[in-house]
Amino acid sequence: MHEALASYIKQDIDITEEELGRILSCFRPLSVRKQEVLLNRGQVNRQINFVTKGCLRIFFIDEKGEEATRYLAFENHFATALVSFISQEPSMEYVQALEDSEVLYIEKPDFERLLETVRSWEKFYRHYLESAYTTNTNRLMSFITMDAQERYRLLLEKNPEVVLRLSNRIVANYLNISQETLSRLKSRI
Amino acid sequence: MLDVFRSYLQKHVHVSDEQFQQLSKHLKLRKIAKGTVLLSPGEICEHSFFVEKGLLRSYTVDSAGKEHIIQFASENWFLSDRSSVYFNEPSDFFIDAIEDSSVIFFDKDFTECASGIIKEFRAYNERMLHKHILHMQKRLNSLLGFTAEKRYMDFIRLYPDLTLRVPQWMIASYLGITPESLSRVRKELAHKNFKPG
Repeated sequence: MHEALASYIKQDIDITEEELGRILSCFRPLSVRKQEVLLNRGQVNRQINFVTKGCLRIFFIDEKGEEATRYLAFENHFATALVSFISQEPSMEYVQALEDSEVLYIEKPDFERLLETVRSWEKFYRHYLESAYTTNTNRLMSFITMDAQERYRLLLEKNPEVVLRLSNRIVANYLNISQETLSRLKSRI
Repeated sequence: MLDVFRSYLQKHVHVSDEQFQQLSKHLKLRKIAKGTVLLSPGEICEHSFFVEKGLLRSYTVDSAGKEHIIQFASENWFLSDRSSVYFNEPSDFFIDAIEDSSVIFFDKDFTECASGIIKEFRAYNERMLHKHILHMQKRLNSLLGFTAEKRYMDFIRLYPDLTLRVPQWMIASYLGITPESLSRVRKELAHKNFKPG
């Protein structure tokens, strides 16, 4: 289970085996059932999650009381309510499992200790933050510059698993369109 | 020269004359005329920009040729394509000057160098990166889940000085609404006696 995380980290930065061992020893396994909520709105997020099996979703409740999905993470991706993790203020976002999932997580105190003691962890964290920034920017751009059909095509091209593994309700929600619009798009493409 | 940036930096980290001298090798101050394009799609962004005076924006153009503004940067703001600078990937957007501006160009390796020269700089850079992420995530979530009125109010809070400096169509473009909708939102807010601040 830790191997997936190890190769994920090694792919991004140069790191010694000793440092890698210290990092991995801070991550603990966690099994979550489909639909289970790992973080509720109003709770302070104290952990960073790495998905080794299954899928996590990050969403919030909008002004109309409806769910809005910000992020979906399958195997070999991190999924964290980052704003609350950084600020240590109550989260606006929920983290939920969409399938039975296996997760490796690190808690804030261990995370902070690694930042102070393992130089390459700081590098990795920087890399992680820059990636998170890029992901959010790209998603923002897709909403302001693309129509529903263009967004659907992009999703099929970049992240087809979303369409293959998740329910129409979630896919439509992720694209910020109605389920009716999604079925129309599906029949057209 | 570079005094504006120096006092900005001084607020966040301690810098001696000698240290700032070393840093300034990685900085270039340039006067830029309104309309100058600093980055175009397909290019790799080689610099980050700090606005000493004036106003920059980043924007994309969609397949129908319509402009969409991602970010504004007025005095004491940074602007760049972070993804392009950090990951060395071709940029997806334009950066240009909306006013005659005086802008500091930062080398790509500025962060690394500054972290070597000033001990606290690394932590400062991380705080900045946090701030940028929080900001971008908030903008994404508000676009996904909030009304035009709420988004306009967030805009005024974030950029209190820009409502008068920037044409209304640009603000509408930033908010992802038509200029007509923006004008309706503004009327409704005036009706409710909304005061920014």
